[in-house]
Amino acid sequence: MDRQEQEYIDIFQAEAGEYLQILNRCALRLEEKPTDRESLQEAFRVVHSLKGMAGTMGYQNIMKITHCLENILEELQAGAIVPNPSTMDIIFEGVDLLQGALQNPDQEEPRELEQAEELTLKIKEICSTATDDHGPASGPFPRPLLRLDETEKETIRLAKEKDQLIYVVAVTLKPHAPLKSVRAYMVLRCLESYGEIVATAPSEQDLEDENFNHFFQVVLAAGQPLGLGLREELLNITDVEEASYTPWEELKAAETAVKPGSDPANREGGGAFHQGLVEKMVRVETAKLDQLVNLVGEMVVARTRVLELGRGHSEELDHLLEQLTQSITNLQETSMKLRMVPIKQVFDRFPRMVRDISRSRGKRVRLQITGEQTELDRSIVNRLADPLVHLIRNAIDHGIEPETEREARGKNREGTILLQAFHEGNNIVIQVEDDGAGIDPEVIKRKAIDKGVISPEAAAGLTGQGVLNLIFASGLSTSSAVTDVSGRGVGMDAVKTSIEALHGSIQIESRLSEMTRFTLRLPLTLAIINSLLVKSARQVLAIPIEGIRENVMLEPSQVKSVQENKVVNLRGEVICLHRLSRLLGFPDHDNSEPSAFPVVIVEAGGKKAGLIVEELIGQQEIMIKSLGHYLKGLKGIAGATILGDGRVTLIVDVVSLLP
Amino acid sequence: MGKKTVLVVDDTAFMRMTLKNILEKNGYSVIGEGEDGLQAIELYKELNPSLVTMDITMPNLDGIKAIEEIIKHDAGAVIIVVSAMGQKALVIDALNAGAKDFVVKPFQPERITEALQKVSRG
Repeated sequence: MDRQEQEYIDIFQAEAGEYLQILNRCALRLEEKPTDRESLQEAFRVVHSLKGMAGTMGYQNIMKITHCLENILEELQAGAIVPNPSTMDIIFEGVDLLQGALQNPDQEEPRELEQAEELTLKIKEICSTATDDHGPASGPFPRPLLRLDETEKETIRLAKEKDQLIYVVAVTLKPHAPLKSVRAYMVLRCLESYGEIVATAPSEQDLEDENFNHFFQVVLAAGQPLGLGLREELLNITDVEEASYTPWEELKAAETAVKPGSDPANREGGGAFHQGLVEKMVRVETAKLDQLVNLVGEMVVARTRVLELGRGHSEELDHLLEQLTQSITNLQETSMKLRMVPIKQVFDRFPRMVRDISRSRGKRVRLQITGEQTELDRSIVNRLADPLVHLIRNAIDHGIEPETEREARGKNREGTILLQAFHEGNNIVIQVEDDGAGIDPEVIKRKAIDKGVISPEAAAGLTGQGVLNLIFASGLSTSSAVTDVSGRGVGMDAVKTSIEALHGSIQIESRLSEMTRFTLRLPLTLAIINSLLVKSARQVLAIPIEGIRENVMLEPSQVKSVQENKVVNLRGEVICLHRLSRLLGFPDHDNSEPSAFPVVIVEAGGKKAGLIVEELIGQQEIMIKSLGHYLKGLKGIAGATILGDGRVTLIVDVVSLLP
Repeated sequence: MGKKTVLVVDDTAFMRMTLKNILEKNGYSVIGEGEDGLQAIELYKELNPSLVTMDITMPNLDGIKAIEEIIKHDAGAVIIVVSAMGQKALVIDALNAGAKDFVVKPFQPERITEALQKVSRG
């Protein structure tokens, strides 16, 4: 395969992958709200585009699956079939097949082809029950289009003036319903008790003469908002398979959104916006982006040197340097922004995951997401997925109770998981919260003692938060049953470790039989961090700010010896002291005890310690450079940075440093 | 709660038997059988059943008139019309008279039980 061909495939896969995510999202929305026409239209658009792309590439299998999906979506759009669970299952199945086919689009496995074939049959079955004609009385009629004449429009206008609400009620009858006209009559009679019937599609005459397949629509002017009661009442009419209603305005908005340009006043909205967005985007290889950011970083460092050397020679040069500095600062900010992506990228996979897991566990769980547009560094986003998957799985598996249990507790039968992201200062905060059983501190304590994580004596002294924090200890799994979903005992400690590796922190709150909430705090970017420069063993070292709790000046008299350790009692808390240079294994010439010395109090993995240094230099933003392959994994060192004066400085990794 | 009681009204013994079989198999108790509209009204007043299945075309008094009378006597009566094909207008009349649902003959057993379940729930 030549280079260019591979490039095409890469772009195809990347773009098709995104489309599949959109498709998944639309399908989930549709499952939740069958009347969501916008999602339906978006799904159709995406599938259509995919088919076109696959056609260009000559991928028969993908074409076949997308063609099937297109059919089913078309029927859904026309209202000929309804988004009931079995229809949605088929759509999801199609998405999964596409996902599989995308891995190796040009190598079509016989098994995949078989699966696609099966799906085609299933879809044909569904669609045919919708469009097949059943006897001469119910021939295939054109799909009813809701077109209002002037009188009907006037009726709507008048109804609106009277503060009535206009709805479009869509009703699907079962395919083999006898005397459909009478069923339609029953539906209309039921609707009349809710408001005035403005129009029907097909016309009332056609309904009466059974000149329709199984689907019809009714425009209803209602005195008050239609609740769920009407749907139930309609579904209770024999042979009514599905009934839904959409406010007139929503329907109109959705219609104008799919026809950009049809109405000049609406050109900015909906579909037109989507189109514009696509055209403004350019796909760039991430490696190129990283390289750009690195080069800019070096330029920033060089700028400082140039400023130092060049300043004061001539007014013109000073002026130019000033301009250059400004441009480089802007360039730096812009290039950093290039690395930022919305957290949506990670969040997008969760609705589907929650659906699948909760189904397999026989629980009802609703996932609510907020702040998915919150941006953070791409490199962090990628590494957040696993910990979040774990937290969400845990929430479904251990948090949300089975339906019957929830009901007994007086909770909503459906559990809710709230996933939210927001910015807080220079951090991004992500919360995973469930309204499930909460965590029983006694159970945790017992488990921790059983597994030897903590001694019974130590456990007795623990209260509240201290107990909850035990779940981050390694080897502690709180589920009594090991499931395939979670609870394999490699749980929360792994999550905590990976969050801390991202210079972040994780906290837990829980109220028994009410809720559990995990709060993750992460820096917006890993490339530039705020650090404290200190001097130790005559070297300048940078300590990342997130790990630092405070800086104190201690006098030798405050330092006590407990066993072999030096400790200090800081406002009632006993903290171990270590000489930073010794922890790093630097030659330590200076053993004299000065009258007062600075100590940096750091915290990592729930442990606090005091690092004795020679001098505190000050706070500075630094750009992290990796030490390269050979020096990777040095204990206590996270990387290096170049300071303004060109000196290379090591960055201390507090997590791995502490003994 | 005990079994739901049903009054079956139809002018053919075959239809009455078929309905009775289906209903009893599905946990209903058929407490009366009427051959025409007049009998239907009499039996309803006498037995006060929870459900009625009503044929439309019957001698002496048709099903629609019978429904009207029964509803006059008991506005909450739950009546299901069992009609032959092609009786669209009559079914609509029956619904207007106060029938809650209808089943078209010939029917599959589950159609009738489904209808009964729906009307007794709603």
